[in-house]
Amino acid sequence: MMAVPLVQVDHIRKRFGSIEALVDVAFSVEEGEVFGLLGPNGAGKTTTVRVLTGVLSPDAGRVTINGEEISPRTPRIRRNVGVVPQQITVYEELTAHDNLRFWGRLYGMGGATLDLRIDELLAMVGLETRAKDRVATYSGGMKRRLNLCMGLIHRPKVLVLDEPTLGIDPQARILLLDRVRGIAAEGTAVLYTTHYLEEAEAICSRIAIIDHGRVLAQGTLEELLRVVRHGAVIRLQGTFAEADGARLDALSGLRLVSRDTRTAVLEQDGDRGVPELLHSVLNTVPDVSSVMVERPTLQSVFIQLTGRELRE
Amino acid sequence: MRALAIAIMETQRVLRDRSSLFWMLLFPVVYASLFALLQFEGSRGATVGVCVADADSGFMGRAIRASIARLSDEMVDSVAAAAYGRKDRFIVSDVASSDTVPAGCARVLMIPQGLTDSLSSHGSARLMLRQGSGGGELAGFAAQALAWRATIENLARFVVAGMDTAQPLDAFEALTHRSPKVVVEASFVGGVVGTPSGFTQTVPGTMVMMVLLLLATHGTATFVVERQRGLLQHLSSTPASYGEIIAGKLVGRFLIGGVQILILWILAMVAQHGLGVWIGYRLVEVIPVLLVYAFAAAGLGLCMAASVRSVDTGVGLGIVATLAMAALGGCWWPMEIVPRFMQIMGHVFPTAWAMDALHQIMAYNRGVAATLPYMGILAAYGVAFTGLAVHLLRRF
Repeated sequence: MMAVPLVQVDHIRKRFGSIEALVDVAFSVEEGEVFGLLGPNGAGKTTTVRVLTGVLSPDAGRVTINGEEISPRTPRIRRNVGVVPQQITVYEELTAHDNLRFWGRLYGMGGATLDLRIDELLAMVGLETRAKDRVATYSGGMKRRLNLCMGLIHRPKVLVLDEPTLGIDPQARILLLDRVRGIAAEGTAVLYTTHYLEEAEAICSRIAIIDHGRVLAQGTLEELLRVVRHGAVIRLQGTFAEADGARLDALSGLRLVSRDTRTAVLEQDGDRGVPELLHSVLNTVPDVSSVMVERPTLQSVFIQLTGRELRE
Repeated sequence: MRALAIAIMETQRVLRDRSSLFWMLLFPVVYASLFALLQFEGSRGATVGVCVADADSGFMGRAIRASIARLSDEMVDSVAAAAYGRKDRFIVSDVASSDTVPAGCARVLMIPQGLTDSLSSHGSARLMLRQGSGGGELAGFAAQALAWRATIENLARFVVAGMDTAQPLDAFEALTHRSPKVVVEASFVGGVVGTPSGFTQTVPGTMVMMVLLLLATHGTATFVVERQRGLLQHLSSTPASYGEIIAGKLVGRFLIGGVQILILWILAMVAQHGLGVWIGYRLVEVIPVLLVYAFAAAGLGLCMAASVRSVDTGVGLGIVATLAMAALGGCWWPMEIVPRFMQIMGHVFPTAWAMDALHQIMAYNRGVAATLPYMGILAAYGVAFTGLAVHLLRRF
């Protein structure tokens, strides 16, 4: 049975003056799913998040959360969404408990229910012993974990995480990713934007790649990898004569990309498997000292779709 | 309720910040005390010592001494307080001679030996008023006025009694118990009686300036930090509407101003009632004026916060604006001593209207009803500033 999409982003457009931030963005996020939104700087990720969380209105298209359209004029709908922004949005003068109490009250919570939820969340991220300390005394990782709690305080149906692991150490990152998996497993629809492609590979069930305000591709990791035109890359080191290049290029299922006297680079081009290809290569050019096989990754897809040009 | 949650959070942030407690509590007390004591000579219910060296053995010497004691009680609430905006206390003491003047005596009235006899035989006598070592210039004038008034009063009785009867002593005694036929009552055009000074000037001045300083600097800085750190954006993504966020910020600033006012007001009450420092009349009635002013200052603080983009700019603007409004608005010195055009210019700012209202109560002993027009103007400032802030904050 097809899962119900909790988030439906329906061909939204957004312009700021002469800058067209979003040209055509459409995707959906289902219950219990972690959906990754990847893109270089300035691609339109944050604008998408701001529209999706009801902070901005789209110029065209619409976003629905659990079937209801969200916009700056519908604060009630925002009750269904939890946001963990890119910046650490904690009040440093207050304690972790006070911060969470404040955010809970904004969602209409209070009393013992709120206190219990605060204790539960602080325990979830390992901050229960520091609950009464001023946040100003926390490390960056601790603040990030508290930030995650703020997005979860009201048990949202949809959780939006905008680069939540920015600037934290590997241990804190592992813990945070683990918690995100757990949150999704409980049925929350998670939209996850990140620069770290390995994070997206690790936790996202589906991914959209966005650039210049457009979704360039979306699907599961396997579906995205098919977007890449080439297969595995085989790098050979050894001693190669002129005739070796011609022999390698003539092999079925391979394409010679480059060659000199010490190295040769080949691309898988067809359905022949890598072991079979390697067998053919080694039979063709016996004077090979090392072989390295590189399979296409999400990074290959990302670079192919968005290019190598540096972004500001 | 969300606006209230935001307002409470704003107040908590300030109260948990040690530096803001310095600006809210310690600095205003030190500032007000220094200005009152150094610049305005202080208005600690000044003690005016009046000494009497009575060498006369007759009734005139005793009568003048008794009049000084009686008049000192009357003048406490009239002459000195009205003229100098302060409440003096007269201490009348007797000294054996002018050579033994106790410390603290502003003036010594020397009643000569044989005064009564000399006047009874239609002779002349010389009363002398010597300058003592206690009190300042104002205390000396007050003591002098008291001594002369007592002397003239009794000389007049003596003349009337001597003319009316053959028994001048009985007639004189009778006159001292009779109500005066003519009473001269002094009042001042427009109700302005003197210029507020000492703590009566610096305490309201400090309250008005410090509330604005806190809201304009700390309030602006915290808001800019919220914007830079994305906290306002994050707030916008919650169910709190734009109106609730703005209302929360405004009420938060009002509460912060209110807390500061309350702390300073309690200190003023303790100083006046516990330590005998004269702060002003009707201190309870200044509360509504200060609260309305806090609303205007909160709106102004929000406007400043909305119009700057960096903490440094915000704090700089806050300090400059506060100092200018405090100086021109009469927080540092009474508006009465500056030229007319400066008085008009000062009333462009809410600080001047707040000081006017506070002087009406604290210096001129008028009820809160007299301040209603001023409070109306302050409330209008609050509404205008809030409207401007809403306009400036259309986008966080």
